[in-house]
Amino acid sequence: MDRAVPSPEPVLVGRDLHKSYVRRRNILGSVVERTHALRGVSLDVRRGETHGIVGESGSGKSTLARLLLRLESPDEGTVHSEGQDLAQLDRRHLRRWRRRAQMVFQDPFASLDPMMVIGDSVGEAITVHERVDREERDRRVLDLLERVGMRSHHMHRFPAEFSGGQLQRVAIARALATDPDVIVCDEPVAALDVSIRAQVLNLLRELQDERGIAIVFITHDLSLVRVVADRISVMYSGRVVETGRPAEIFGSARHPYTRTLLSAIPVPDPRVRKDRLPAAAGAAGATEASRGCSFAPRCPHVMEVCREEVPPLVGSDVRSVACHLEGETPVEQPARPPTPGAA
Amino acid sequence: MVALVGRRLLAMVPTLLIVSLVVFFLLDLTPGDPARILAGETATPEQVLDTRARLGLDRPLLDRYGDYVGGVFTGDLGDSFFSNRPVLDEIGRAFPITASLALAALGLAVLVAVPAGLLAALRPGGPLDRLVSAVSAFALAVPPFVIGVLFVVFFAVENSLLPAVGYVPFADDPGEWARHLVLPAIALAVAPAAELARQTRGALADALSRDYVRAAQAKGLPRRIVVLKHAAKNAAIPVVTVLGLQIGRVIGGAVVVEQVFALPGFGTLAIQAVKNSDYPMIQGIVLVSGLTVILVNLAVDLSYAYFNPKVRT
Amino acid sequence: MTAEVRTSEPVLSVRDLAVDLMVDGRWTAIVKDVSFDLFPNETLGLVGESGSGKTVTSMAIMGLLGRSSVRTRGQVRLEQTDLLSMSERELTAVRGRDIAMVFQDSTRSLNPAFTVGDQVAEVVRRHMSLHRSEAWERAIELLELVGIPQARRRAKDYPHQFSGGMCQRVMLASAMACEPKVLIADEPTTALDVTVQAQVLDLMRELQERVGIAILLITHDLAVVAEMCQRVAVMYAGELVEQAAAEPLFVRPRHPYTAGLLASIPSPTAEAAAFGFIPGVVPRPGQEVRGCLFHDRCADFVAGRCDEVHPALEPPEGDHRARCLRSDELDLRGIDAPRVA
Repeated sequence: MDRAVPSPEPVLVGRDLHKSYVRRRNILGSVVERTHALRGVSLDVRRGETHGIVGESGSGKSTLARLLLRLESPDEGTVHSEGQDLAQLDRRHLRRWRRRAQMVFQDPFASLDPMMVIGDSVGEAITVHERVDREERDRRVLDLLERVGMRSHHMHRFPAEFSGGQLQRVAIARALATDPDVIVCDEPVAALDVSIRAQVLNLLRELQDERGIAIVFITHDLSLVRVVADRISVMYSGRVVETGRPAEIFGSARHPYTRTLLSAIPVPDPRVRKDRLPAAAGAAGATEASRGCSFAPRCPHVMEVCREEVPPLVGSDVRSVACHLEGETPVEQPARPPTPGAA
Repeated sequence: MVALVGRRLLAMVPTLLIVSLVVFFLLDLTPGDPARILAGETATPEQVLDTRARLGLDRPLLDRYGDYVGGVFTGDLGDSFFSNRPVLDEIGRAFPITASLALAALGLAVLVAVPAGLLAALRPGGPLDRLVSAVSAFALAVPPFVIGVLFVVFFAVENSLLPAVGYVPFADDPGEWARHLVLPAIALAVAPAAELARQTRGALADALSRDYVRAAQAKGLPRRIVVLKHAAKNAAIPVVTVLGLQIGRVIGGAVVVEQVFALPGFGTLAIQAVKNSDYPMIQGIVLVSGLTVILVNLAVDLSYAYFNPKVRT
Repeated sequence: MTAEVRTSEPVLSVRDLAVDLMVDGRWTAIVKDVSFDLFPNETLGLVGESGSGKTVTSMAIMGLLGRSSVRTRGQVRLEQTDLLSMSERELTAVRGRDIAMVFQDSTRSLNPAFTVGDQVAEVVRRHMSLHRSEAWERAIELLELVGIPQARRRAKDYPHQFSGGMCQRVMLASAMACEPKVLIADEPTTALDVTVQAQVLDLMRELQERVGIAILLITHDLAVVAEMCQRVAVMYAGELVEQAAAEPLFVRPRHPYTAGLLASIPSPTAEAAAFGFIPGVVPRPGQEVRGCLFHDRCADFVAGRCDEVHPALEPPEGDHRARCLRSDELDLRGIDAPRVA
């Protein structure tokens, strides 16, 4: 379903982002092993659009979120916000920029300070960034809480008194407090009961329609991202392997990893017997800067070139794939039997 | 593992250097002049000056420190201002006494506290748990010398059950050695025991609340094994850590307890040295104490590798 | 997925199970009146969200709730023996041997201080009289069975050296060590990546086929239920509210809560980008509710009936039961119904 066409101007652009973390040092303190969380990721988010980022553990999606919000700096690559390179901003301007980009985390019980009443949690950003008196702040907090479906008397209660779904809505209110242009949501409904997820997601959709906020929606749940996103980027082992609109990803996935992922999703229909694509499952995290495509060890269609060169991401910013198979006729059967699983 | 030990032993050197340097300076700054004390109250100014020269105190501070450090590396800790005997010999005579006392005290503490903490943790909030907490709190509040004096009064003076004072070397008569150490060891053991009991209880209660304990129960393992194998190994780390920290406390407590029970140990030596402004002796005592604490903590850290496999990689 | 041919005798039979826990000084009912049967070679899905009591139910069956501050009533029969009437000592002989359990977060369910091989071998040593070396060999066999590559070498590794999926396989290895009759799996794949989940579920099915165990699969994920379970029981606020074979439950649910859960699944054939939710919150444990426990959230609520009478599971014997006064009147939507925004 097409919603209102989002403005083509990107609110946030990440280009060729690299980020690694130290895993081990030797006796002298020099680095012996690194974990490469991101190995050249580019991404953009447009006003009024929801960009879904899908990946399993080790894909680098949470690292990407932190880099986009400048909670950490990339080793290489840039993040631009409306033309402005965030690395060029001094401390004061960076702080001011933070109002424009906010985050909603997975577990609202962990992301909201249990010692602060929710009114204070929601209003903290207002107090920090703007000079408003107490009354004005409270008025705005009340507005925000009501917008997310909470009541005024909730303002003075502690997080422990609420359910997960209610708290996540409070977390959204907190993210809205500074009137941001982009909200990054990292698994916003994974910790919530299934029967209330739609409530939180509908809220995000409404806010987006009302205010034109761009949303980066990070999740491992493909079924969810399909109904939530306008564009999807599939990540594997620190790189983007495929992008496209939901219908394209789900209807005609081109990358072998995407297809593996899709075939692994259980179907909520007991009459359907799923045939799964075989693929040696393994942890996706990369420790060495391995040569070639990171999916090569697990790919049923692997070729020589796959182990030598990293396939470039080819296509437009709405539809692209990073796979050496591109240009060849897609093969439906696995090219060779999979090696035993190492999940 | 070898690398770890090597690194820690190397790191020990600068630590001890800094400690001894600080003490050196502090001693210089404190009131009290060893030369004057040694020369006597009736000494003339010239005699005091002579004494000072004899003790080497007229030389610049850093020179003296340099000489001292050089001496340490060859095993020469200087001679006592007071007795003129080598510091190392005096310490060598006194240290084993304190070591016996400290080990006895810690051994007692562990024997009493660990089972108490364990049993308390098995039923949190139960009567034993509350008893252990109350007794620990009380024990931590009472200083060792008070306990020591009370013991002396009850066991030695009123009832002549155990000797009040003195020390008998193990080599001479193990039985008497033990009898003379019982009361001081108990007095010294009370505070560490309280601390250990609390730590054991806390660490074990925490381990018992973990998922792997529930999974072990689900396997049908008897309670005994669940607690003594699965929970205990994980609870060990905080307990061993606290045990290592107690060494410092016990050495400090030994100073006082030795006074009460007239044991000619390290603590007594220390007090004497300070009273006499016996600089080399004080330096030596500080150095040896520091070394002991560092080595004990190294042993504790190494034990982590046994209890926590993640540390080994 | 057709139901497997089943013997008429259930291997696990739960009757009128109720569990009260001491909360804030008061006895609070967490599980109220749960009954179900589990047959060999079959997987029963126990579905529920937070507050449903599904985990407490499984812990009560295993006797893992402890004795203080817990009151359990009812019957849990494993073949001929009532587990609830057994002493803790007797139970330790049964757990791990006749009935085994795997938990949600396998990386936390393994003791970090012991090797993986040791943790599998100890089950074998406990229940079968084998020497250390024999038990170790058996442990390696089991690790190979569950698909751990290079099992002999890996058995000497520690849990932190394994990924989540591998840890879950190790848990399955120790669960299967004595070829139990029943396996309780509490959210076994919730913490895993979807590709890993697929493999672990496949493994569980394989193990079931090999040994013929009955599996009680506890989950909130209806897609997993559809894949794995022949029969399903849905719990809400401590009660069983619907029980049926998988297909009838998904296609023609008879309880509004089940229908609500089904409507909360993002539709796989989504053109409509909408999916539903159930407004409101689950009643807190101990909260007094008059009538049906779901009535305040129910789209088909009728005043005067649903808030007055607490329904029983109807029909009392039958393949498809629901705890709803209106289940015969309502035409609830299952997964075939078109989605409306």
